[in-house]
Amino acid sequence: MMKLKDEQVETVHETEQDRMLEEGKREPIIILKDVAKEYKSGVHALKNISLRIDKGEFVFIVGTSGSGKSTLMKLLLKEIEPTTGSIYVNGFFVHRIRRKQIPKLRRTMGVVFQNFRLLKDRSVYQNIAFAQKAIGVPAVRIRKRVAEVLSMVSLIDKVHAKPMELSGGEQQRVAIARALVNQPMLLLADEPTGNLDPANSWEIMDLLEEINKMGTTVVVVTHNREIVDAMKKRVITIEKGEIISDEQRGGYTHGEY
Amino acid sequence: MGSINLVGHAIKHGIINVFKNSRFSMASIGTIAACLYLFGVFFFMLLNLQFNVDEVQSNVGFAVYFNEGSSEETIKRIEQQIRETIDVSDVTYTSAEQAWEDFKAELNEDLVKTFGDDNPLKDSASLTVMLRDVSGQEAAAKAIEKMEGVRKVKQSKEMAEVFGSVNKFVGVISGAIILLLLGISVFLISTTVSTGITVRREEISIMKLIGASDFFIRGPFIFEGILLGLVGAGIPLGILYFCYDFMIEYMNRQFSALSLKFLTMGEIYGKLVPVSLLIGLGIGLCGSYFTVRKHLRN
Repeated sequence: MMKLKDEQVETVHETEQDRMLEEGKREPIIILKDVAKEYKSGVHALKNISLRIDKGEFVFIVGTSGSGKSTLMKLLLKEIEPTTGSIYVNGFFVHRIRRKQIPKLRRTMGVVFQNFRLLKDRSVYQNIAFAQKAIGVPAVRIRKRVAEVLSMVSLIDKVHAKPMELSGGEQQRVAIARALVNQPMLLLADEPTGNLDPANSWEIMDLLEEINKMGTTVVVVTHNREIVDAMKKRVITIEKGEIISDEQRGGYTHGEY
Repeated sequence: MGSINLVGHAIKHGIINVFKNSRFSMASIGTIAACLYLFGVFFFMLLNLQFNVDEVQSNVGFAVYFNEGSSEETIKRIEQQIRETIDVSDVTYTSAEQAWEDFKAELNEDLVKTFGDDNPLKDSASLTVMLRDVSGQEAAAKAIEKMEGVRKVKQSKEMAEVFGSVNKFVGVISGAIILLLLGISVFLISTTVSTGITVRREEISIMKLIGASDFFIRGPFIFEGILLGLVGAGIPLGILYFCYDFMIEYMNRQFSALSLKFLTMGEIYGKLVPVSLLIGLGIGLCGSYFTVRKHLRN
């Protein structure tokens, strides 16, 4: 059985944990069991999907617009509740944790968005340090850690720049640095190359691959066929709320997106 | 983050919010200040009127006279009965001899001589009764009148009644106005805080996604509300401090017939400062807390 952090143990029901984890020898970081999401409008965004992602994996989630990819991301972050089914992420049974435990769940993840979501009135340093301050890291450790992640994303010379003074690729690297600064076990990237040119897109994907090699599980939601086909990673394809394929070393093989 | 750091973060960003949102902040502070200025004026009037009522109560009693030929024993029994059944602060016995002696002092010496050794007030032995609460004077007088051996009760209630009714009137009017202004103040603080939340929506949503605690996100907005409330309370305290003499003059002019006495500035401020600051804090806390709860629930 996998080891859980003390603060997470209370969120895990032993029997359900055993049942959900017994399926494989590798430690899972995400397990979805028969998860469905129906919005109040009546739209069935996800229809009884089940999937498992293990620690250390690099996974692409692909699909057309409206296929349910964003709903899946929101469920993993507990921004929304599933209609049915159970969701396990990094030691938390997400579908049943209380509101007060949501910050603890999210601290185990880093999130990167298509539009970067940086604070425009703050410097690169402040944008990254902000993520550490928000979870209560002391100032001395913040300075050291921000310098480390800025080196990792090769932006140490831009530490005082404001986001608008950076290129799109640089802004996305700042966003990745912010996502990594709290040393998450899992990095969720929602269309990280959606606003970037091909050269910058490859830079970002290389960076994500490097991060994955250092042990962080990376889940990338993307439309970028060229990148998905070239990287030969696990590809989960969602269509109309259902997983229609899940291939190790896959590609964009299911229709045109 | 240690709790000191969290509080420091809330204070720092609360102050930043106030300045970033300066127009709404000024409107909130202005309304709270107006509300608490009026509160201060009414508080000043109420405290001073109450002070005068207390003065009257402590100086005005009513006299109880006895049936002709009542013995000292009867009078003592009545005094005992009054002490046991009425909420008195003091009961003083004046014998017929003392009453005549006191009266003689006010009379012409020739006139006094005409009485020789006779005491014209031989049936004027009395008890002077002081009540703790002047509003119970009417009921107390009726109860004493019914006591065996009591001939007459003479009240001096007019002054106390005037003060009592003025005090009540000022209290009701000021209470209504203050309640209305408090409601407006809470609404304005709520608007100010919700504007701040709207302006910082993106920052808040990022904070949530990176796992910031509720206190980290909400603290600055709560402190912003508290700060607005306290500054709004502080301004009228300053103004009233400098206006106290003018207010005394005004009260003397308006109520000249009552020969009012006034509390000192220190006596008024000893009560007004904590009450005003508490109200300011309460307005700020309520306005911001409920707004933050409403807007940052998820």
